[in-house]
Amino acid sequence: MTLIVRKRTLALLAAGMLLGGLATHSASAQTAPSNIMADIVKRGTVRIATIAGNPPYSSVSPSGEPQGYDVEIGKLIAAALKVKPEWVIVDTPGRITALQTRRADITLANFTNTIERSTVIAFTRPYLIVGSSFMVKKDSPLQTAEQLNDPKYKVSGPRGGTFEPIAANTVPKATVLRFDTVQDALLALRSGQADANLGDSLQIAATISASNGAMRALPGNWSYEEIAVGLPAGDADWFRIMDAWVRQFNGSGDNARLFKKIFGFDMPPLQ
Amino acid sequence: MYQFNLSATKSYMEVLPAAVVTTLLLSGLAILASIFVGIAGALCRTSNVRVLRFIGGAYVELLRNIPLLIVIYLVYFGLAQLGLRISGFTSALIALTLNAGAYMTEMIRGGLAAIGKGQFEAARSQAMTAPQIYRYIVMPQVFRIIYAPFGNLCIGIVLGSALASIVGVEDVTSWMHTVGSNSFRYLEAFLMAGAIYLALAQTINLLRIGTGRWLLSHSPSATRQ
Repeated sequence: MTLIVRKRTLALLAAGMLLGGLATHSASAQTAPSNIMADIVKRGTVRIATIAGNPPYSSVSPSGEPQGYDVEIGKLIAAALKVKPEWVIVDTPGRITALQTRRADITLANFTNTIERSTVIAFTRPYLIVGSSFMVKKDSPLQTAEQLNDPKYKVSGPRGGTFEPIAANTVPKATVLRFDTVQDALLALRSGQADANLGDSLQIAATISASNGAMRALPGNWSYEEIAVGLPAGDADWFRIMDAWVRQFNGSGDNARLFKKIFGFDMPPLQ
Repeated sequence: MYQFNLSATKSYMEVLPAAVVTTLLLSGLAILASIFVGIAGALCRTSNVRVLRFIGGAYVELLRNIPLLIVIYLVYFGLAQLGLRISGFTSALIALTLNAGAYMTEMIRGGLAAIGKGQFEAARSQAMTAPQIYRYIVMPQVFRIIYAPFGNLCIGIVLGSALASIVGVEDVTSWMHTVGSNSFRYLEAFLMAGAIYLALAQTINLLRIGTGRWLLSHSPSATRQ
């Protein structure tokens, strides 16, 4: 009996040490040198983190190829750097981790620049300004966001995005359902598990125009979000290169043309 | 440079107990429910009635060969589309029970198969009724046979419950994602959650060992020997 208990304790200790060892190892592995541009040239690829299931920004086609507005931008950046794009598919919170752990050189994923995020990673100037709005089914009794502020109503959105603080501010009493992807949060509304979906206003506009009248938006805009290219913190040269690229992309009108082609309506002005 | 800092998770500690309770409740209920499903399934599979045998077999093959993730999606999103709106927690509980119940069925069926036919005949010759035979002769022996694999299954259920967060259940995995996305301390959050699941799985395992010892020392076959 004592022998059995001791064996069990030993096994647990060993497991604990393994976890501990993993932690120290990862901490030392992440002290990488900071010259990102030199690494990209040497590697011949720029590693771009993006999320799946977030059309029309980024999604993965049935054949496994990334596609969408952010993906087209990534291809243009790779072409400008004269290297190939290498896609790193992550989830909503993984957009930051991929940069922190240097698994990606940039993140292009409908990525809002927030103060909190800016304390751990860097952002270029924005290439898109979006808001957020509530979407409901056409036959929903809901007409305003105020009506939604009731525990009997369920609001869906993705975990780890800007959705959570916006929901807490605009509909604090509503029941919040959090999902791993934007797609799942939309599915919650479509399937009837949620009464409303809170999301990116342009994405909601695109979803509504593709839904043939099955969905509608509640009036009102609930946030100001600067969508930008995310970069690892601490490499001023890499920031300088990427920010210059975004400035050119916006100023040349390439951005507005690409947006119109993908979303089907005019790009809102960059303020 | 990444600096490991476990204290960054401190401010999320106050919501951790609720998440642990959710995980424990979900896996505990799923273990209990799957025992009943398993017993019913095993009795179907070993039944003399052909239809019951077919239903038992079809259930096991269907649920053992579909990923738990998909079963959770089907119950939560699929049934909602048909108008049946089941909460995330209940959906995850149903899916976990259906999945684990299939394994439980096979485990108990294996235990039943190990009991020799002669024992049934001997019991019947003593005028024991079918419920009596199962209660006093068969089940105590089956229990001993399945005792160890049952432990594996319990741990599997606890770890499988981590998938519940995909339908919005606020469990330990959901807590982990929240800590990671709000504090940007993912590595710390992953390690914390890993340690919590290790502790939870071991707690449930120790409970199983304790209950098992108590039951074995109080089972009728032990007292009659």
